[in-house]
Amino acid sequence: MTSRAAAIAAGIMLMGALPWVIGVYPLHVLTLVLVSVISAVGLYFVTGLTGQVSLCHATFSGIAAYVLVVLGRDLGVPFWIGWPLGAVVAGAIGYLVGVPALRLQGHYLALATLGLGEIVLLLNVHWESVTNGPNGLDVSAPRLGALVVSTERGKYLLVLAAVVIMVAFAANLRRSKLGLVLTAVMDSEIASQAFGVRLARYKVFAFALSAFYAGVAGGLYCAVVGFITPYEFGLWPSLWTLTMVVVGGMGYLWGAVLGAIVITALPEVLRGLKDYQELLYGVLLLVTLVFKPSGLYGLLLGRRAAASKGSS
Amino acid sequence: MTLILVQLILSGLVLGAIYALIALGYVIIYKATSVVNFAQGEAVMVGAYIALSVYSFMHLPVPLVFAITVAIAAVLGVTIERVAYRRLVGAPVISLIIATLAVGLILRNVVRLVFGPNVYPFPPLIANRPLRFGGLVTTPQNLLILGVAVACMVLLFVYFRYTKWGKAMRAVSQNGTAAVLMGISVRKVFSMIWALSAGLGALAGVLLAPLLVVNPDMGWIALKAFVVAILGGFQSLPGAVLGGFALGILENLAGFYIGSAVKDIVAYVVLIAILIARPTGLFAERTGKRV
Repeated sequence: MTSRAAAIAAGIMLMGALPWVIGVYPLHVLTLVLVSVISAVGLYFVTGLTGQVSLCHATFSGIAAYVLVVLGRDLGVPFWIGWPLGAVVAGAIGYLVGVPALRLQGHYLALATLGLGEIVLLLNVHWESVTNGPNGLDVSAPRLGALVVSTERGKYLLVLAAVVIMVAFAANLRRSKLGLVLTAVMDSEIASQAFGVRLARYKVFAFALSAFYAGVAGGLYCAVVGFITPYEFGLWPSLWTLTMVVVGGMGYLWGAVLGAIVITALPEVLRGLKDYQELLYGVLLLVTLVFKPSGLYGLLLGRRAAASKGSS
Repeated sequence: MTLILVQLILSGLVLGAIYALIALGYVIIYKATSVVNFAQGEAVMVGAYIALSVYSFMHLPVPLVFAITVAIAAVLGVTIERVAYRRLVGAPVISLIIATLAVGLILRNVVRLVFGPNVYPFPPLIANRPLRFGGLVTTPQNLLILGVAVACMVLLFVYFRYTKWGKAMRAVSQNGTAAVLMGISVRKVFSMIWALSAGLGALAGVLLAPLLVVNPDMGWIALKAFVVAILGGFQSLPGAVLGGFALGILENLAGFYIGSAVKDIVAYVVLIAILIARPTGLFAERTGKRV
């Protein structure tokens, strides 16, 4: 085992031991942080690997969440089937939207996703017989045989396991053929096209994958919070996810992870400044773009590079 | 039956004119900079708040309200361009797009902190009694809104066609490098373009305010103007105007004949349909990708 793998394994075990160390509320916040890590990593596939903006990332989480909850309520479909099914449905809808929107350059994906987000939101609000409209829906706790995941500890461990799998998959994807192609596309669309890459196909796949990740996060969010309403999956939550990816460092997988942690935990740290929270996000976004486009991760990398230079 | 139809079309024109004004703001920015300005809705909202301050709180006369609102918004537009967007020239377009989202977020929250989240009613711009023509009903205010909006569009076309700065803007949007070589200051043109689009947005805000109420979220309407801009091909000024009127009328017809819940969805259904069937819009100029 290399030292790197050993460090990762130790880190995961440490994370797994946390619920027996910290209190219930910090654990709840940490669980939500981890859910947003999955969502942000998903959005990284779009912004980082295809260089486009998606404005309905939270909508995909919402689609998966509503599929999961409605199937569970009406047909008794268990969480363990409804959760992946919801994520697959989100991914499939992402694929369908991506096909027309990604054939085009630049801003069309942003516009199409904006439209999709509004349509799904209005549908969830008005289709009351199924979604219960703005009043929202209760979520029953996931159960495995006699085991019911209803304690904070259980939820945390479920989410942690999912995060490890999803982030590991994303990290390996970058080194796969697909990841290499997408990175090449990011560097130069024209050059990669000249080498025979079918741009649109790869971009659509990246977008569908991002929707799938959002769906996985949406299902977990259901299980953690226990109650969903349409507005939790509207334009603003999508914007917050975008803020995570940008502030963390657009184009870096670990930037998305870092951004998700910082942006989700920030309101808890700055409890007294609730009124200023959105303003703060806006300023953070703008400052990052103007002064440090590589984001927090870029800052960290710069430090590390400087440190290793000093020591050698 | 036909009377109802004519009435629906007539009232659709009023909101359609406002959509068109907002959409023109998008198109002007996009043609010059290839940026989709997601803060245009906030320009509308800020315009409404400026107008609220000078009209409702300070009781200035209506023509002055229009002038002051547009002037302040234009200055704000230039300032934002200086502070934020100009520093991003040369960055990927995606960064600029996200920057406009951030600017929108900041504007919305600054307004919310200053004026509070509550809703302000906006007094009518002109004595509001119904006017009847045959069987049709409208109000002087609706005619005023339509008149101001159409006058603005005409002025804009004259400006782009005949004035020196208007021609400079067109030159920059056709070919930036060539424009620089001809001695046009692209910086000045960009400043003016952001001023112009912020002014247009704010004007739309003043016209919209008496129809709705003033609140920090009223920029939502700009989402529909997006659809209008896409319908018009995102590059075409006449396309934006026609698209605006088309959507205003379509919404009214769908709301009446299908159901009021549908009214809000129409725009987005049109959006998805356009993106699938004819993504370059109904009035697109033919363009190739330069390599």
